[in-house]
Amino acid sequence: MPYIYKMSNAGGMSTVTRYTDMLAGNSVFNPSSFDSISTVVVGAGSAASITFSSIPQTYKHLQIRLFAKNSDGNAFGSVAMSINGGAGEARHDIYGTGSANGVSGTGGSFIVYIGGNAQFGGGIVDILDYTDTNKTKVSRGLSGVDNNGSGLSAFVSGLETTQTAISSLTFASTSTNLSQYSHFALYGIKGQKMAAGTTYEKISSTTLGSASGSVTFSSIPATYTDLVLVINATMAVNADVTLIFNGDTANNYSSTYMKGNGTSVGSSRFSGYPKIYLDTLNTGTGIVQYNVNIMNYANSITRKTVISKYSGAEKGVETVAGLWAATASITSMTITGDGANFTAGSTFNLYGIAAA
Amino acid sequence: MPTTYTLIASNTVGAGAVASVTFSSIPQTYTDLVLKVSARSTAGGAFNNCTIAFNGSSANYTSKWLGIAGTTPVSFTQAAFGVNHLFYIPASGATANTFGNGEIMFPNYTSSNFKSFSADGGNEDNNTSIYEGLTAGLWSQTAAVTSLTLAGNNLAQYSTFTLYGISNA
Repeated sequence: MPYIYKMSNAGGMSTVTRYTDMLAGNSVFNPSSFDSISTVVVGAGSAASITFSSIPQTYKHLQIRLFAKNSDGNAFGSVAMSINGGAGEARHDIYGTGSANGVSGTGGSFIVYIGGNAQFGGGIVDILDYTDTNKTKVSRGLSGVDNNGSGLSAFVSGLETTQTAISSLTFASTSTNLSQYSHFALYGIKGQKMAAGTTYEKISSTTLGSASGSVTFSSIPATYTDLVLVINATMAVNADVTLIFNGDTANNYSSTYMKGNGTSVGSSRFSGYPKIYLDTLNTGTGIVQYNVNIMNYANSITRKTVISKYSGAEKGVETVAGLWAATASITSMTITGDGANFTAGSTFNLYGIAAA
Repeated sequence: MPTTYTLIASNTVGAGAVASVTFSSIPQTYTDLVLKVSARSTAGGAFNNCTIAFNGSSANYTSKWLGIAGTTPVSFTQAAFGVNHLFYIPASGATANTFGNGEIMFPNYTSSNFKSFSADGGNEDNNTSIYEGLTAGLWSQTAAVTSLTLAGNNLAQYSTFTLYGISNA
């Protein structure tokens, strides 16, 4: 076969390297599979609903990430999702309010829980195979809000029996209008190799070479919309894992939990605390993981919402809706083993997701 | 900049249904794996377990589950399921053409530690009674994950399984 020659500046274009493939010594390019499609931010004057229309049919799955509230004065609000203008057939929730947990099942639209008063709630919704006309449309979401004294953390699924490909999605407040600064971002996830995007990017990564009580990510760029922190860790003894932002150790944090330990279901809350507890089950000595979403972290207008899930086969499952009652943009975060060290080999990966 | 979120492979069940779907020879070049599952079982009843095996083995698996069982919030250990339960998927008695929506994340799948994973999903159905929830799982082996096998007591045509790699490089 013909050779590929690369000439370089070193040596005044006299350096020539010969290759037998078109990569010419470069790495294989793998296009990203996670793309931002569209973003809607509610402006001044509020809005009853927002709509994504003319959704491209070129992806395999959709993800909607939202940061929103209405003003009905309740501990939490909700938005109902309509697919192609339809009303939905069924919805099922499991939730914890901090003082109680429960289940609801009803007809009608899939919903995402948001803030209902002062704080913005967060939600991550996944719809798989949205263009497949062999399938009805099933939605799955983790959402919640914390108000430092009240709140809710929930896992919701919904069914719309239409088999038509999804071309539009509408999120409508189920009570008062959506407040200014409510933010809805639509992402497409590919099912085949396509042109590249740079929506989902690694920011920083830490793997502990020796035991340590904390890990800090500093100088977090403000160029993304949401942050995703993935922790995979072990500890030598049981301990909680906690999170603070920008070095703030004052009692500016609160959280609402829903948890299951393999025997029972519960819900609890911390209010006015010096940190967000990412789990209250205690980490245990087995390896565990946290998937932590920090929504709209870079804005300097709203307080900051955390939607997190803890998974530890030794201890159980826990979902968290957390609040940092500060409007500052998040520029750093510190993850701490409360009274114990993370063992060597524990990993902490921070990613940014950029909405269009 | 290296790409962070990349499709590795996709599998769609054809006509006739299959006992299981396997992703083999999983590249070892990513940090974490994410597997999105839209699946249905051809077995009788309203729902069935979607299960997983690592590197061809169903051994060394433990988990805890938080979710809805019918109309009640419950939490179970893996022993209650008797299989390597991830989440429930609709079966032949569920609303027609309705497939479960689930996702599993496997962090550090190439490490020499035991492998934790996190799953959520369920058999959403046009019914007041369903089974959906969140799973915390552990595969107590130090080997890198090179294959994943998903089963559901015969997976129906049009069931899809999409595997992604997330890189922290």
